[in-house]
Amino acid sequence: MSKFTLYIIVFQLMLVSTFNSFAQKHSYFYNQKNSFAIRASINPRLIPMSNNRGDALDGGTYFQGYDKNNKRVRGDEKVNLMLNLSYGRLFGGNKIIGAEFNYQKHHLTVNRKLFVDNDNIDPDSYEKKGIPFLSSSPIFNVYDINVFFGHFKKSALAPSQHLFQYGFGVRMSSLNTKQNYRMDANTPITDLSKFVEGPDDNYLSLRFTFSYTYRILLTKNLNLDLGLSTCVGLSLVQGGLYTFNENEPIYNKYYIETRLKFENFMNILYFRSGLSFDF
Amino acid sequence: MNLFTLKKTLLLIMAFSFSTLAFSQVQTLSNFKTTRASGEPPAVFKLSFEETVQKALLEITALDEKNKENYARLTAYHINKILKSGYVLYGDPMTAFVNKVGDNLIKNDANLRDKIQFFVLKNNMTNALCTEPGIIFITTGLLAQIENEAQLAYVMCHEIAHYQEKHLQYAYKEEHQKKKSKPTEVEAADSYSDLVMLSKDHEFDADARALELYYEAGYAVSEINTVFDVLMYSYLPFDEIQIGNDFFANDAVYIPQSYFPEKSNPIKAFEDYDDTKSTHPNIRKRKEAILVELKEYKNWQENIRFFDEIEFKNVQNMARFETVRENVVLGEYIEALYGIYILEKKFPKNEYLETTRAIIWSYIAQLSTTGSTSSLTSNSSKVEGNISMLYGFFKKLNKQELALLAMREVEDIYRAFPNISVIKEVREATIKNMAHIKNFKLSKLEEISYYEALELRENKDTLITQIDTLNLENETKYDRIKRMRIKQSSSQSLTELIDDNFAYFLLYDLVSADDFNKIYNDENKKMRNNQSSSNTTAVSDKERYNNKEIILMTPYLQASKKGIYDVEQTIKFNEIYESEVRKQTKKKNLLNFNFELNENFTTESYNEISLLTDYYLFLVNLKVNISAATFIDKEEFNTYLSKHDHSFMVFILGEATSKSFLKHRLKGKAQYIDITTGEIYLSKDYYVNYRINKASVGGLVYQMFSKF
Repeated sequence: MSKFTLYIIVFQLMLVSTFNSFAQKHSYFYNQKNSFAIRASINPRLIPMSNNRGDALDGGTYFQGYDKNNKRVRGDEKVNLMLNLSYGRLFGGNKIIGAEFNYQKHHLTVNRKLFVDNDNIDPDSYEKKGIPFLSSSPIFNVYDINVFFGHFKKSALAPSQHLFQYGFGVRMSSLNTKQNYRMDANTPITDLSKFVEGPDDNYLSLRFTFSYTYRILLTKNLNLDLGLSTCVGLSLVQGGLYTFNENEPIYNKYYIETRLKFENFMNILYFRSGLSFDF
Repeated sequence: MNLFTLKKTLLLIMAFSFSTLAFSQVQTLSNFKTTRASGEPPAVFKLSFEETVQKALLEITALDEKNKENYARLTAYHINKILKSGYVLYGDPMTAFVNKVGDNLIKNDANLRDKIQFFVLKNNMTNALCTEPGIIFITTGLLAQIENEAQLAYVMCHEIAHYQEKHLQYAYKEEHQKKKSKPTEVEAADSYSDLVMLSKDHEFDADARALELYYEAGYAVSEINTVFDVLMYSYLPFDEIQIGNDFFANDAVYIPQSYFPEKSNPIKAFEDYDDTKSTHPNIRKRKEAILVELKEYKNWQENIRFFDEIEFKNVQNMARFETVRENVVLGEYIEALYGIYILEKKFPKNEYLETTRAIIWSYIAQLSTTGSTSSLTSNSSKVEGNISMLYGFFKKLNKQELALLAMREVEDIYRAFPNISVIKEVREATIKNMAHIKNFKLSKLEEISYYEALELRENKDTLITQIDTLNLENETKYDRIKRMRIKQSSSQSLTELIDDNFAYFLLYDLVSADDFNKIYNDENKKMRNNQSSSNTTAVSDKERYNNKEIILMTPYLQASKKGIYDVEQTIKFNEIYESEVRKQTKKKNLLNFNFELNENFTTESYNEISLLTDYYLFLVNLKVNISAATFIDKEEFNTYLSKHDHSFMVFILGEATSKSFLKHRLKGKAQYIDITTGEIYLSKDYYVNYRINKASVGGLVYQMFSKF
């Protein structure tokens, strides 16, 4: 965890403790001033999907990898699935401040630029006609840590049905090293540095989010959440042009940065659903 | 929903049996105490909601199966509310008399008599109400207004006819169909009476059928017309007498006639009023319809009564005393004073009436210093008849005049009844109150009466001449005193003798009294000390509420769907509320009257509810600071306090509305009444956009009890 992220979390906790003193003056539903939520979000990769046309793989949604039996599997990641954990503290009657932790597994789009003659790729097999491309696509762990401020609609005691949240945080992406990466079915990649450039690197970006959650009361403490988030992702990294060199890793840093930046920027809309527990 | 709704509802449920005591003479009612139920409760009071539904179902013949069930539940719910309100009497002389009249009316139909029960409901409305299953309520307001047994008998016949003809059931059916066809035109109904409104046809039917019963019983035809007059003028006090000089007890006190309006407001009621928006036809139409029906009956008997007139008079007087008392509880002070004035013509120097009068004047005194005196006369333009003279008089008085006049009245009552502790207490409070009159000094007051001053001024020159020529050698002690006083008065009194200055002479015999001055000066000092050290310590909620006994009154919870009262949801609301209260208050020191009456109905608990509801109504209608106000049932209340000191009475209001499948609203609030001090505290509002369920209703209960 970077110092920056740590700072944000500490700052958030300070805010929570400060606002706690004001909370007593207001009424809350069952005097619930804490809200813990676990949700799953789905982000349809609409723009990458639009790049899947024809043989143009760049910016698309295709990936490939190997299963437990080292059998090559091809995938099409049309949506990102993100898990969210959040904690919020209510204050001022209908306001909430808190932190959200998100995790998603992201397959980097298959790197067609590996091929010199990139005009002759079979879009079904990702293989250059006559020259098969069998290497795994790298998988990244993506973590978000956000602080958020929100408010419930004033027409009812909070926590209530309508929650509006404004979040700001960092997104960190790092290579998932515990995968069965292979050059082909018979050749595992033992040296990750030959697979991706800087396998231990963290890629940071900033994210601003606005979310609306409609909470359906199940029991006095439990709500079924249905929500929508819009995000603006700004990368802190600069992607570069890809220059292929035989001696370089299959996925070089510039390519990864470009892909992650693009991905982060395009993760605009998330539909989310889950449970929140208020106490 | 607001406090007004609660008040309205409580008034509404304050809607109407006594061992058959024989009365040999009109009671003096000097030791009158408000009537409470006594003895073994009738079986209908002990029925649960479901049992009442089952009983009602047996009676319903005019509705189809679906409506039958709904109607039975609606009826049972509301009847249970009324029966457990504390305001329905049993085992009392009024209910006993009403039942005797009822027995006589249907003596030839034992089957019908078994099905009908009569109760008296303590309420100032002039009304009678027929409900399922065969319960007929007669209000004390009606008993106070009617003039004889025959008139009461006619009203009862009318209600019996409603029952016999199943009018309520038909009305429900018609109302139900109307709502189905034109839902948008139906406004939200908030009560049983709004829902089951009888049509004009039902009223004509009931009048015709009543005539049959009334004729068979042998009452006189002459009273039928009069009973309609009674109903028409029932908005006026129970008698119309002119305000005379005796309204103010002390003859030596000058009350300027110029302060009274020149004439009273006219009585505007007339028979042929517009009844298009009323369920009842107007009086003229009813009289005309009755005249047609009367042609079918010959050989009328001439009985005005079958029972001793004294017995009726006693019932009527008790009802009138109850009317006065209720007016005090409801903050209608001028109405109450006028009622006392009427009753004192029959019951002069009555201890109860005089004590009540002292209490009312003390409230008025408080109003003049801490409240708004305009609240006293806010209805003055609408008041008709002789009482409007009083309204006009009180409207003319300024705050200082009001305070001084109130002091005068309380003092005169105290002098007539010096040994009654409540009056003594009230007097002390009123004297103390004088220290709080703005821009007032005791030295402003004259030590001679207005009449004396007038006489002295007129004869001033003559007197001085006489004094100067007096033979001092033969002068007695009393001559000397008289001479000194004449000189003092005629020289020291600078007050101009005009009507506007009458108040300065009101306390002429009191301003130099030692005890008066002591109480006044002590209060003055206390007030100054309080002003100089105004660091009052704020009491936290924790200190105020923790570990206190909670006396939970029956809540007022109501549900509506698309603006229409929804009885099923209302019942559900109440059921969930009850189960949540049980669940959430296990560890609290709770006395829940609702449970008590539903599970173990006793007359003692029932009367306690009645007393506490009275106390609550008294507090919410009190226009002055409670700290110096005396509750009219103080003695009875003190007995209760000895058992429940430091308790909080809790009233909960809840309203659930449903506008569509997704739009729901449930809100509520509570009032916490410290029964020792009478202070009322309000809860924070509870409001959620959820339908009625365990969580939403539980949240209301949670919030309302979170203080304890």
